Amino acid sequence: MPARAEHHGHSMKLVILGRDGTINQYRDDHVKSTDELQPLPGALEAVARLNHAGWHTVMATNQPGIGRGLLDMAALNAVHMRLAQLLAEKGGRLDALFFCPHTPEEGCACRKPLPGLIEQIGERFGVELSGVHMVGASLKDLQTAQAAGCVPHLVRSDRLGRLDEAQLQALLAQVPGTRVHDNLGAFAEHLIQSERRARAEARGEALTPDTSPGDLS
Amino acid sequence: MTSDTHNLLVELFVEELPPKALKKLGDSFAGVLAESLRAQGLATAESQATAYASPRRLALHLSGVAAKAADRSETKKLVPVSVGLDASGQPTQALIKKLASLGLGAELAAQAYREMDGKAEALFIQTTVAGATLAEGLQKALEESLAKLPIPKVMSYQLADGWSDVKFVRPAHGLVALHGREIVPVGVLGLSAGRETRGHRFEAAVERLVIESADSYAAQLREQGAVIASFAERRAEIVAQLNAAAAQQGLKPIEDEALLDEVCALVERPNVLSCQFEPEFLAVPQECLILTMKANQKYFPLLDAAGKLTNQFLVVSNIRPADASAVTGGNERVVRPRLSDAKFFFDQDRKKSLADRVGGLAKVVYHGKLGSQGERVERVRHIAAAIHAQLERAVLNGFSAQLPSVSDIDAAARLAKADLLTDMVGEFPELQGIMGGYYARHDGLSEAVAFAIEDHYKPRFAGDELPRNEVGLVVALADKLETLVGLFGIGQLPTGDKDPFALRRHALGVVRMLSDSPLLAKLSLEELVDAAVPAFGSLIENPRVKLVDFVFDRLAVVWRDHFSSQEVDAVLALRPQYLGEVRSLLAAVHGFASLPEAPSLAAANKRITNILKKVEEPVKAHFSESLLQESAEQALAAALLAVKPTADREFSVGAYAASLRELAALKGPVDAFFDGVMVNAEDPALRANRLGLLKTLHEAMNRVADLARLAA
Repeated sequence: MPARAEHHGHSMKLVILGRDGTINQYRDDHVKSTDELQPLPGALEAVARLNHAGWHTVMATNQPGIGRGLLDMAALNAVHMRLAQLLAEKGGRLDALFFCPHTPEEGCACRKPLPGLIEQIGERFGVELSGVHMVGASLKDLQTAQAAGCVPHLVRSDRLGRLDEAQLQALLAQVPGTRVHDNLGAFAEHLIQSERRARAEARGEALTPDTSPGDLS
Repeated sequence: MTSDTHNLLVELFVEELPPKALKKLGDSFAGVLAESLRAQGLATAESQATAYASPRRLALHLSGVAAKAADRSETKKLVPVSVGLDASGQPTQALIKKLASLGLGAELAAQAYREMDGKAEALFIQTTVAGATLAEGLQKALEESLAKLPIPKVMSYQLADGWSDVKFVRPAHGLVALHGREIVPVGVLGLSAGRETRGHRFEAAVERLVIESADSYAAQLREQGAVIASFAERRAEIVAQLNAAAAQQGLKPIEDEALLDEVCALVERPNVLSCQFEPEFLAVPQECLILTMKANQKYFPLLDAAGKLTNQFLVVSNIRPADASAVTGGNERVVRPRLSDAKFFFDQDRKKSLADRVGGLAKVVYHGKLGSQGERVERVRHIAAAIHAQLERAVLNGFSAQLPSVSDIDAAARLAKADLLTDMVGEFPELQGIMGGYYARHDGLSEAVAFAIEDHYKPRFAGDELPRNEVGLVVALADKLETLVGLFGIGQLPTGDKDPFALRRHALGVVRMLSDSPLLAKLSLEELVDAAVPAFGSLIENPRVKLVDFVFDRLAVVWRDHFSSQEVDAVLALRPQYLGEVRSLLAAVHGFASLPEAPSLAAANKRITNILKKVEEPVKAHFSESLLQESAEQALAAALLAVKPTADREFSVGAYAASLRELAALKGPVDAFFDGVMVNAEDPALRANRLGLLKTLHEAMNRVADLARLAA
């Protein structure tokens, strides 16, 4: 069939994920050990769901706890190893984890909301960042996405879930174009459905109502 | 080899390699390394190469590797004798300079010897080239191997120094190079070789594995590292676990070699786990469920003894937790949304009939110059009707066949592409046709039409089955002709390895159908092309010549696997009208070629072809006996008249081999004719008569094949 629909263009399907508040529960005092790593309900499944729909997933996280000496590299590696293992149990995986180990005072270029870390990801995978979706759980994540030229997405599964509508709108006004989702599962669903919708439009059909995958948690 | 000969182990430790490329990467890495070491004299032809490839490592174990390659003796040309030696035979200054340029002392001039070099004599010397050390040789081999890796897409990353950028398939983190127990000092990608590597990401007993010797690598990885390093061994382990887990439930995993390779490239130590999904999903066509599970999830669906999908499936996990329920539960949770997508698509799609979708095809672009899918469907209908008309004519001419109904053919042609607009095919393009069949049945269409819609893409690959019913055969042929005639008609021919519309595959499909389907046996390719052209109106030029050539090229490729090129060329040169007869024509020519008379008759035919080619006036296949003067031409004519009626009769009933065997009797008279008769006689009447005799003979002999092409 010559006119066979092509799923995606030349470039890789890549999603950049924040960590704390997006995948696992945020802690004011940093996640310092594997015990303190608490995945948000359905978040790991959402990563697996993205992987299964052909998306590569990369994590980008600030880890100033390293710079402050609150945890060492071995502890951070152990936390990330645990995360990868929990994800593997759900049949998902992260293609890479990028982190900034610096404190704000160090003035590095990779600490979010500066786009350094995201640009490194773009270089590593050879992708044009303007088509990349970046999802996070804080204003800082949205600003990072904006600075790097990515498509910003906000999940309200953690701390931001407590904002009222006015507060949320005030926050969104700072990063126009942000899309808001209840949690990572809803984000995954949004991404998968918009890709389907685009494909349906390419074949001249309006997509029937979105599929409902049910609760991932 | 000396006592410095040991086994060698080289491992490159990397981040997770792209699974679809892993097997090739592993074979290439090890293959090029071993080949290069052999070429440099560090390993021998007897050295056993064992390749290892896992998601995080590429490695080679090579037996019998020398610490240093043997010195080689090499002959070097110095200077012509006239330049190198003076009148008294003493070395000249020029010779001494030349030696110095090769790093050789003047005292070696005495070892130079004379030998002819072209027309003049020159001086030569035997020198010794020191063999490479293993460190030098392995360094070169590694660089060569990395340069030649078939990397699908390079990644760039920074080295630990924070400055240097490296481009490689994935970031590399370690290099092991051991000759016996000793480290070979080599380095690539910013890494220096050592003896440390890492095992399984989650399950290794120790964080860093210290490899003791080349020979302990695989065992240490297995025992301390929880890694099965060999691709083949790991794959066999997966197969064994899959079969065992399936057998426990009295079921069988689907067979899929590509899926096995891919899964093998995703795990370092496989652990197969049994999972299940809610049985209500089984209401969805099993093709959808199977495709969902294997394409996206890399699961192995389980089939019952009758080949029917069950709600059980197997997961090849990379981890082996004490409590497997976390893994099974996790996988069961993530497969549910995929299956519920499939169910949702299936339910939604069935709310709109295929007939209601046809109009939408007008909005789908097919090709800039050939219009929309909707227009294409109209053309396929037209061509299918034309094929039906040709079949009816064949029946009138005595061809016996049960013809499908025009209305079934038209319905199938009209609806065949409608499933392209369904959500299921939008999600899984591989299901085109298959879904059309399901939806046609749901719409209450006849089985004949449903099968035809389902099958009209067939045959999709070599060895694929033909459409299962007559309606399907006609629509499938019309569909392929539409593609070929349309794209050839606008001049969009495949070039080199660029064939974006898969025209070679379509042409092979036409070849297969016309060759193998009894229903289509009496359709001629040229007539089919001509019948398809009007469907395009003024969009195209009739591409008959180029297209028929193209299809015959494919046909030649197919048959060259079974017959010699000469035999295939001989038969296809005549462009047999019915492709279904090619097999028996080839068998006849093959039989003829093995007769003792064949070489001389083939040569005679070549001669006759050349003679007739040179004649300017038209030659009729006719001669008169009264004008036959020489005894040799009278004998040939008599022999020809004696065998021709039988040969003709046999040819007309398709007994091609027997017909050719009959004509083989003409060898003697033909040879005698060329020995004793001058064709170009001065008397024009005699000459014309002889040409007529040869033409008659030529026609009789070359109906099965152009026998001249068998001539050496």
